[in-house]
Amino acid sequence: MNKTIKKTLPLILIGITIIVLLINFNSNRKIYFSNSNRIQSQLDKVAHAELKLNYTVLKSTIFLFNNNDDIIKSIKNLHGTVIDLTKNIYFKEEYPDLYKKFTQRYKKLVENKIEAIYEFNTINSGIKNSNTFLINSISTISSMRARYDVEIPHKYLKRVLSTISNILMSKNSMNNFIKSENIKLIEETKINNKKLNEFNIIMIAHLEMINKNFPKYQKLLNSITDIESQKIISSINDKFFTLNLKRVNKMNYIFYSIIFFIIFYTALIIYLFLKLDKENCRLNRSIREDYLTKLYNRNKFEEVINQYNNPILFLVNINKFRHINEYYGTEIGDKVLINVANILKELTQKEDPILFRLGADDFGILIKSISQVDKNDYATMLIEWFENNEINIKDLKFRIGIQIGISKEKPYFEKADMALIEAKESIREKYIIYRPHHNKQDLIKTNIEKTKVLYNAIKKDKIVPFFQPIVDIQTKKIVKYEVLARVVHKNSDIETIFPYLQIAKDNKLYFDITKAMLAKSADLFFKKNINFNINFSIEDIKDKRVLDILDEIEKKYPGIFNKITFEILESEAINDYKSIEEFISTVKSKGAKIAIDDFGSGYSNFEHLLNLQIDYLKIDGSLIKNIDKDENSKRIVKLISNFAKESNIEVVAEFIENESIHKVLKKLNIEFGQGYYFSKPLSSIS
Amino acid sequence: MKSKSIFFLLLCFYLQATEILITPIPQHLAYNKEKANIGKMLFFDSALSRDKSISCSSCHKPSHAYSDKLDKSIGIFGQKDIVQTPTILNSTFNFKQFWDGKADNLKQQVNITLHNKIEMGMNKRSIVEAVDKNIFYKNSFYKIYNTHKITYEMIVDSLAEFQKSLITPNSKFDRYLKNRTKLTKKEQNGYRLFKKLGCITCHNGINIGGNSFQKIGIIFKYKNCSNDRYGITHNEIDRCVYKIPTLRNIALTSPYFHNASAKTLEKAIETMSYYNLGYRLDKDSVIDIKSFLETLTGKIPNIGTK
Repeated sequence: MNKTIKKTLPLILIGITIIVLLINFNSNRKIYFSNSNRIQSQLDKVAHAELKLNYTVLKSTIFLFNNNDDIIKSIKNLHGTVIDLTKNIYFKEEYPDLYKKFTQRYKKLVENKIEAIYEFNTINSGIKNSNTFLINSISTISSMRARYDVEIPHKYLKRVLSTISNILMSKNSMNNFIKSENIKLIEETKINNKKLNEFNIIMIAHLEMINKNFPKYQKLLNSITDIESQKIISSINDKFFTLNLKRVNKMNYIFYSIIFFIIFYTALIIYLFLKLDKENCRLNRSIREDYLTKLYNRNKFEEVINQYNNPILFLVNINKFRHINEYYGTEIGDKVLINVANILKELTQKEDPILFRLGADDFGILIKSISQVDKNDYATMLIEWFENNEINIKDLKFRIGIQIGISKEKPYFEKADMALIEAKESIREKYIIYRPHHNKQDLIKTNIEKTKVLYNAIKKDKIVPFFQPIVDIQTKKIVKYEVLARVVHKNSDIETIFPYLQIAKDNKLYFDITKAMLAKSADLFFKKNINFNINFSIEDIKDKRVLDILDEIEKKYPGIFNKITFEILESEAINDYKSIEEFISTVKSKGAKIAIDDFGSGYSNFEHLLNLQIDYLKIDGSLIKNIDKDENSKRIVKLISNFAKESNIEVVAEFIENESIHKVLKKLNIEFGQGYYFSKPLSSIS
Repeated sequence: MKSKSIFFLLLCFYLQATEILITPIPQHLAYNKEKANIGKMLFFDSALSRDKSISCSSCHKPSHAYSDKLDKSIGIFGQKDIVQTPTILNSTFNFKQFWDGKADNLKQQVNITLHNKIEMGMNKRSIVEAVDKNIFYKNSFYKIYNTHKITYEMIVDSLAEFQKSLITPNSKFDRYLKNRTKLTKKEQNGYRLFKKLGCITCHNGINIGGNSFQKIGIIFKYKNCSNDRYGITHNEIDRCVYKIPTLRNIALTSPYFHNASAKTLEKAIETMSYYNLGYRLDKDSVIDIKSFLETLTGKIPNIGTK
């Protein structure tokens, strides 16, 4: 969990960063656009207000009657728009150059303009009124002649009309045509008539007023309508547009960067997702696949087994694979497994089965339909291939044996496994096809029962020794006893230990039985001063604890070893002759004797026997039982006897059940014998 | 046909242009009543003058249409002021305040007047102190600004707001403009002369004046030009230049001109038409113009009502 958080944290952080960037960018963008739009609109308003003001001023020059409120309103409007833009902090901070230009140059020009307009309004009023007066005076002069009977000097009239005409020209063209000397001449004209003189004084006042103020009027109007301020506002506008464009471009770059970032992030997530998917696939496979051989595993087997109607499973086991691992190491062992897997793949290619590794050294070959193969031929084919071919691994040559358990019914694996176990135990059969009687359910049940019984017996000291006399064949005198373990049941029934031996071996109870037998018989025979034989298995010999027990017994019963003969069962299991040799030399040095039990049952290895310093051979009962009828048995026994005599070994015959057997043995000069003919095993010695 | 329609179009334009030369005073003007109410109290409060002898209303007498009948109003310590007190009625419509237009708006006007050595002779601190003493002001300002700390700006603001409320709608002429009443022949003739002679060149707009600076004696030199705009701008052209006074309620605000030289309206009409228009008017014309000017008297706001 922690690891997951650690892994995803950078991704989450990048994600959050992108979101924050986007939000930030968006809000910045909004602020930017709303602010720049505001500046733009305020600039437009300023420009418009100025135009409007110019318009109202010009209008006031054209119309005789004019509402000055319009001009004041326009001035206030322009002033207001300028103040608004001046107060725009964003404009001030983001466009300092433009702001400076606006507040220092444009604002000043506008202020000057407003002052000029105030002045202009003052002059304009007078000029308009005087203008009106002069226009009216044209008719006044002409009517004066009739009204007051005045002679108007021609020169005077001409000068007056010319001056008025010049003034009108000037006003209309905004060029000064007014001639001051003309006005002076009019002033100097002597007028006798009182009325005309009165009129003349007023007219001259008007003329002079215009003459005096017209240049100023002209100048003010020119300055008011001067386009410099408009040029400035226009250039501010242009510059603002350019700067704005740059900023928009910059913002675009940022936007593209964010987009790139998002694409990168998406790609990263896709990459990680694919990686995860791959990992998932791998994990998925590893659930169903064996990592070593790349064959399917048990999980897959369980998955697919029900998909086929009529399959057959060959469960192939490598013979003594454990030894390969132990002797050559697991590295080689693994290679062997891989090799075997590959060989199986090749061998079964044609049938296209599904191959599994179902156990450490168990391979499953699942043929999809039973009709595809002849099971016997197929198993034989596999077994023979391994018998005839070697496997090369790192310059080592392995000849591997295999056993096969075969099942064609449910549950396939379990039944094939049972068959395989049987095949492993069998000497002759290399493959076994499961048959119902192989069903070990009952066996397992009895095994469990037996285990319980054995445990109980050991716990309650109910493993007791029985004694079968061993007699001199010639004299029929008892020379010693063989100690045989018996189990005393709860109901006091007594049963031989043989059915329990395998269980004892499997449950590591063998030692307890041997220990009980040794202790009890040593005590008895020491007291009675009689020799006795005791059975020792290969397990006992290998068990170091047994040697300790033997030491203890020797201390407790000095010289006891002189009375003991260890009967060692010769069997296939004896492959470790070294430990047997050691054991024999140890006990023999203490005075004990050694017998080989069940000699001639099929496992005898004369070569090894010769190397062991044995004292007795106990001929297997199967050879003795029918010795009076079976010539073959008789010949073998004779051969053994001869061989023993050559080697200074004495021979003991078991299973002597009747007199005729005894007679044959006596004739064959067999030294010792035991069997029901002489005595059954006894619970005690008299 | 085409020329006829163009003629009508031009006529309409002309008529329209003349008719909007004077606009009526609106019935109501948006202003903050609470502030104006405090302003009203302050307006009548002599605590606002240095020697506690006068209030705003001492010179802007409500009984004299918020102007003074004296040639020179009496300021603190009995000092005489230097110009004739203009009415503050409709002053919110003026483009500048004072004869010389030294204030751009009413707040500036209040500020200048309060500080004027002859008029109120106060400063920011003394004003605030004077107002702060009065629990009524304290409570009233608290209602508006939610603070117990009275500032100078609040005081100026409320006085300006009070002045905003001083408008005089429903004059006969305004009603005439709105076609609610008819002018008498004399009044009609007066108005015609008013336009024809050129009075309207300067006296136009909502306040029939108060929207430009003009020179007294532009045709014949006027000699008595004290406290003119030159004092503000020091520009030669501004000699004898004053803010055009409003003609609203002109019949109630004698004496006339900055120097109170015209005691009657007739005299004022005669003086202006001679010095500024170059006309010597006959008696009838003066009477007619006067009767037109009398139609400009509107409804003076009632002080008693809030």
